[in-house]
Parts: sequence; C-alpha cells; structure tokens
Amino acid sequence: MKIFVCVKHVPDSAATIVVKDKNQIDERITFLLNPYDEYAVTEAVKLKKLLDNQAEVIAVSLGTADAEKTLRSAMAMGADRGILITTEDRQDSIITARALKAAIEQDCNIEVKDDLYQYGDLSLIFTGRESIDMVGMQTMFRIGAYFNIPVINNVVKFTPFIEDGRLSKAEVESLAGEGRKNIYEISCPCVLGAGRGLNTPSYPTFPDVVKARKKDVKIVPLDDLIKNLIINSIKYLISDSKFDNPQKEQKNGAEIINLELFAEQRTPKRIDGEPLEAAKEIVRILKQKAKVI
Amino acid sequence: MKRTGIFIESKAGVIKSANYGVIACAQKYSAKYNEEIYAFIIDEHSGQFSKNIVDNEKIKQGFSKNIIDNERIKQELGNRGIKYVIEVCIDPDHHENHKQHENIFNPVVWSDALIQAVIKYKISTLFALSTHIGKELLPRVAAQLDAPLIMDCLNVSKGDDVNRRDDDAGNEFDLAETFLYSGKTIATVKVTGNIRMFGIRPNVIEPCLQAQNYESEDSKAKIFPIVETFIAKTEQQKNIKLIETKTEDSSSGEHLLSADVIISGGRAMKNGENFKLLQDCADSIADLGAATAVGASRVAVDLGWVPYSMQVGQTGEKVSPKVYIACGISGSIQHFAGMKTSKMIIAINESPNAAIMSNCDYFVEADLFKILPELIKELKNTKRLRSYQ
Repeated sequence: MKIFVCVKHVPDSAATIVVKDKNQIDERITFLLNPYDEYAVTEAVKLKKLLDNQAEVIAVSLGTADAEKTLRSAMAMGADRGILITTEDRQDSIITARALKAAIEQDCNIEVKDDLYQYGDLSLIFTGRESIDMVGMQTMFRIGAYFNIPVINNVVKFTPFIEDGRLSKAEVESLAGEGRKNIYEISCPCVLGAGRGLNTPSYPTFPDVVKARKKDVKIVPLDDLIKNLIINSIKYLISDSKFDNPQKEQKNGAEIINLELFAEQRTPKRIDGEPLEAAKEIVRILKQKAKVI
Repeated sequence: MKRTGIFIESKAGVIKSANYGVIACAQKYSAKYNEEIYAFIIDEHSGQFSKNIVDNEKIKQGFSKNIIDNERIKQELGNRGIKYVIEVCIDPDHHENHKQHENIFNPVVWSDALIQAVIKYKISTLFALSTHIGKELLPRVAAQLDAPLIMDCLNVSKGDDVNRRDDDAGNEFDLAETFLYSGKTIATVKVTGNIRMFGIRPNVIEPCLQAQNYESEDSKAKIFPIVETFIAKTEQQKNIKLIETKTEDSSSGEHLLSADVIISGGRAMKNGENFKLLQDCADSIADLGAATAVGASRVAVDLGWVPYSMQVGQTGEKVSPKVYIACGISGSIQHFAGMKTSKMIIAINESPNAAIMSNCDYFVEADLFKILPELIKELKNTKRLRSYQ
C-alpha cells in the first residue's frame, strides 16, 4: 500500500519578496515546506502506523532542484522516500496536478482497463488545503478528477476504516465555514486536503533529519513525465488540452504575466486625549469618515 | 455569442450582498463585447414544485418559504440589471437531501448541478464569490471541466485581442488580479481556455447599482428577469457521501466576510473572557445599523481563547470590511495578509512600536481596556440621540 503526500516548496511568509524580470521573484530567500503540508505529512505517517507499517509514505513535489529540501523536511517528519518533478518555471495548477498525477501513476502501476481504473498500490493521497504562496485552492481537486477519485478539502478529522489490513473507506470531517463541519463517508483511494487542526505536527529531531538525508529521492524532469500523459477520466472534458494539441494556440491555463509589490502605505493619524475623548473621536470617525453608522 | 455566468449565493432566500460586487465585475467584463449575462441560482426544492406545484402537504411541511424567497431573489437580480436567471433545480429523485426542508449545501451535488448548467447554457466565463461556498464549489467545477480557475480575484477584465471575431474564440484571454506571496504582491494572471472561472474576493469591488427599489409597492416599477428552470439530474455519488452537517460555534467566518465593520482582538486581550468586551462593542455598532463581526489574531486562536473560525489573516479569513478595528494586535505580515484590503483601519494598542501603528488610518495609543468601555458607552449614547430625532 502506498500513501502519497503532495508537498510544495514555498517562500517563508515572513520573507521579503523582491520582484524581478516583471513576473518573477528573487528566490534568494528562505523557502520551506508549505505549512498546511505539515499536517498532511503527519496524517500520512499516522495512517501508516495504523496499517501496522504495512504501507509506504511517499512525498511528491513539483519544483526547482531546491525543492529537494522540502522533500527532505517531509522525510524527516516520517515520509519514507520522495519524488521530485523538476521544472525551472512556475507552473499553473493544471500542469501541477497533471505532473503529480503522472508521477503517482507511474509509481503505483495504475492501469485503466475497460474505462475502469485499477488503482494498484494507491491507498490515499494527502495534500495541504492550500499553498501559502499561490493560494490556488484547486490542485487537490484536479488530482482527484484526473484519477476519477473523490476529494475533500480542509479536512480536520480523519477516521480510516481498515478491513483485513487494507484501507477501504474513511469518515472525514471538513470545515465548511460559518462554524459548520461537514461529515463525509468517502471511499479509498481518495484525495484529502489537510486543514489546520487535523493533528499537531511534531517537529523532527536531529536524528530524524540525519536519517532523512539518506532516504531516496527520485528525480524526474517535468517534460518527460507529462509528454505522453493521457487524461481520460474527465467526463466533461470539452476543450483541447495543451498536450493533445500543442500547436493550437488556445490552451487551458493560467500564467502570471506581471507581479507588483503591494505596499499600500496608509498615513496614520493619531487619536489623542483621555479615553472618553478618544472614544468620542472614534464614533465621529465611524459616522462622518467611514459613514457606517 | 459568448455568455458570462454568475453563480449567485443566497442565504435563507436573500441574496448575499457581496454578490453585487461580482455582478458589477461581470457587467463591466461582458460589456466589452456586449455579451449576455446569465445568473445561476441553485434550489433543491423548487424542482419539486415545478413538477407538482400545488402540493399542500409539502407546503404545510414548510416548503412554501422557498417559493416566495426565490421570487424575491429573481426580482432583485432583475433590478440589478440581470436579464436571464437560471434556476438550477436539483432533481429530488437524484439526491439524498430531498427529505430535508432547508437547502443543504452539499458541494458534491451542487458542483455537479452547476457543471451541467454551465455546459447546457454554453457559459464561457463563470464568476462566483471566493467564500466558503465558492471555495468548495468552484474548484470542483473547474477540475471536472479541466478549466482554469483563479480564486480570490480583486478584479477580472478581458484581455485585448486585436484579431477577435465574433464567431471565433481566437486567442481570447482574460486578465485576473490577485494577491500572491502572503498579500505582498499583486499579480496579473493571463487566463486562457474555452471556459474560464473566477472566484471574486467578497467586498473588494464596488457593488452594481440598483435600478429600482424592489421593496416598492408599485409592481410596475419592478423589473423581472427572464427565468428558466433547469433540472439537473445529479447522480448518486457512491464514493463520497455527505452524512451530516454540524454547527459548532455561532460566531463565524462567514459573518466576517459579510461584515461592514470588524472589531478584532489579539494578544493584549489577555483571555477569552475579555472578548465579550469586543462582542459588546460589535453589538453596539450593529445596533446603529452596520453589520459587525468580531475577529481575532492567530495568537488569540492558538492560545485557545476563541475558535479558529474567528481568525483573520493568512491562515484564517481574508476580509475587506469598511472599517477594521484592531485591538491589541501587533499587525504581523500574516495578519495584514487577511485584512489589508479593509477600507479603513483603526488600531488601538498600548505600544507605539507595534507594526500596525505605522500602517493604519487612525491609531489610539492607549490601553484597550480603558478605551473599549468608553467606546461602548459612546456608541450606546449615539443610539439614544438618534432615536429621539
């Protein structure tokens, strides 16, 4: 059985971003494992233990060569090995999901017979609920669609059902906003986007980090991986995809063409005086300036 | 002719006001080539009425509210300049919630219905809100259509295409603006594809204007859109089933997204009990007519003072109220990522060195426990003065 965790190498949210070449950022800043992916890795490792260690946890990432560091972080947290799909460029979520799908498919000997997927060793795919740099919030849904398996995002509780040592289905709680939680029953394999509160990631010890250095990372170039990828699970596919007809101009995708620093500088005005006067002034501002009351 | 679609969010039969910003965005977008706009509303019950309108038993059970409420939504959409409204009904024979009286939002069923409607009405651009519902629905639709999707957009416009012909998509593309890298940069994203989808951040785009007051008694003044009912035959999903929806805390993220005023507390609140002070203040502002919600910084949530659904910031809600009052919040980059699009920021903080004090519109350098009680009193006085008038 194989449990996959899709992880992303993202700039530290506290790092200073410098824009270069119109739509790029200077990457000489701290990058780390996307914080939501920590919950995903932790949950995958927990699940492996529940399966009496009769499963392998594999971290997969699409990124530059530097993203290997993020795979090592995931392995220090308990993933057994890693797959790094290398690319020099930033990729949109359609390509990212295709790349992750292709990598997982190759690793699991997944086959399609008579339009039906044989999922082979694939038990489950975890991701974080979103990446903190791009916040696209969609890659997990696309992976699910490409594999024709169900997806739940923003998962805060995961209860697997294990029958005869195999994962058959799970009960999953997902945060739905307005203080609501949706509880689903989902069959496996499936894709689950880990949300905050799913677990408490434990930070790796030094021996964990040392051990992670020796674990295997397979490196696959993006182009090799998706060149011959066939997408046949999309029921409603109504447009040509980039790969079916690369000559055609019209293609499904999203490309960042311009990046600008957003540094809206407000000019703060001091509200002075005793508490009563300050309170009066705030009420006046709410009334006359903001016009909300 | 290209068609633009808008998915309209409503609650208890009332359109959420944030939709008007989405409508404004779609109207400006589609005006360039005079494209038609279709508004989609999803209703799980009127399908039953389309088939069997006079069913007194069901009306007794409480279904009647839905009929009346939908009329109101359609009328309101007409008044905002929407000509076509598609009522997407989920065939009750084809889904599991049909016994329930309320519209239960089941993202799997709703997304399937919306996909069918998008295809049937040949929608090439779909807009919706980037709310909790939008975040569940849009990615599911985009994934099944393999269509590009940009969430949390600040604006969307048509890209200039010099070779465009009416009968040919040509090299048509859209441009979406969105925050990237923790709100530190604004990106312009070029989006291509036969169907393109956008989730709009609530309250960042000025709402579209109302043609008439729909509360008007004069029925001639009301503008009705052309309404078509589309019955979506959603399949029973075997591999994913919504068993239950639990509501755990009433103070909620969605309130934050629709609030005109947000009053948030951070570390200096000292404990959860003290958040009652913020709630009192919020209630007093709400009594004066502004939708007001209480928010919190990550610290206050991590310390267990308030639930996660109240958190504003990069890993919480991203809000754009008219006024954001930050009480005892230092103003980290991550907090700003969730509230920097607020129209006005007022900071109350004891420390002059807190980051928020140099990036707000007004600041009070004082102990919040001295300011807030006075503020609540002042707000209550304001109410009295008004009611005497």
